[in-house]
Amino acid sequence: MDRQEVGAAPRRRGLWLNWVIVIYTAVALAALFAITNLIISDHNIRWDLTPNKRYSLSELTSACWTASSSRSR
Amino acid sequence: MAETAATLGAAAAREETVNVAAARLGFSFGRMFAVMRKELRSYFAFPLVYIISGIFLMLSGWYAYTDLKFFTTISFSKDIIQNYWQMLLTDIRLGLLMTIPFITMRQFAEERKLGTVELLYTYPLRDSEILGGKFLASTIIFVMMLALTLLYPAFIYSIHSYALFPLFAGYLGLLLLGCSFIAAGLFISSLCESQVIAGIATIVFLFSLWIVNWNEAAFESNTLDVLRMLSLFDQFNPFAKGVIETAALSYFIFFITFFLFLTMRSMEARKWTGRR
Repeated sequence: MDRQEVGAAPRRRGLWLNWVIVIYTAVALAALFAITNLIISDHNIRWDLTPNKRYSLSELTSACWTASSSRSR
Repeated sequence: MAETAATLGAAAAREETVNVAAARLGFSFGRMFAVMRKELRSYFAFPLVYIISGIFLMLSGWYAYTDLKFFTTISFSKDIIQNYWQMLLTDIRLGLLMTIPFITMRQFAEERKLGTVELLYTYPLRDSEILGGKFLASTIIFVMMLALTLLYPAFIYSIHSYALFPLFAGYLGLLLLGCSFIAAGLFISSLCESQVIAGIATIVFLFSLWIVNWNEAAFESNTLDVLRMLSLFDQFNPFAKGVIETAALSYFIFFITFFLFLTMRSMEARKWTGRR
């Protein structure tokens, strides 16, 4: 048998397998990051650094919001 | 004579053994910093980095002036300074979009074109050390560019004092956004042979991440939520307002890690694809 043929067949299969592994790990990592980010978004912590807390609800509004949401449940 | 040749041969063999042993060791920050220094030297040896920094500073200076003019002549509100920072930081990110791809484009693509990448791979260095060095070098260039824009807030502070914390949040956002651009740019550069194609492809990719949710009416609310999550620029908005959110922080960190991981895989692919 020709030497080149013997060497070529496993290399082709190896190349295909390597691409599958790379794509699989990339997709798996992206999915892991997306899920982790979703979880972090659900438990989001905000630090409003503006001097008058422009982007934060006042204590009274927060209390009303919590009360109304618990009543709706 | 023969004795000298034997001594030299032994020394060369010893050096080779040391190099192989170094490569077998774990990740070394020393070697990574050596790559970083080499990259910085090559950056500053050519005029490209000076031209790119000049263009970026010209753009950001223009934005700083026109935004200030807008707020002092047209818009009057209680939080004029806060609104000004929000608008300026949002404009500076466009400057970053146009300039950072030109910093990262040469990292792998030019080395591959010149053939120096083979030389780099033959050094006793891990791929992670090469990548870390290149990423750090690009980040240092970017931080130097960004640090020069601090002159505008300093100038305004000398006229009228204001709260510095919202500005700190904004610059933290710009830093994370710039590092994300660098990570994406490095990955695209590692795929390309030509640095011009790498630069243009990076701009197109980052631009697509910006415009992905422009037409909000065209999508269902669930789809829109996913697109908002993908949009790199939407994640920057809380920082521009002076708010730090853990969700946005984690998004940027994951984005950078993901693209550095892809670049590592792209570098490793040379071992089994046979390309340089």
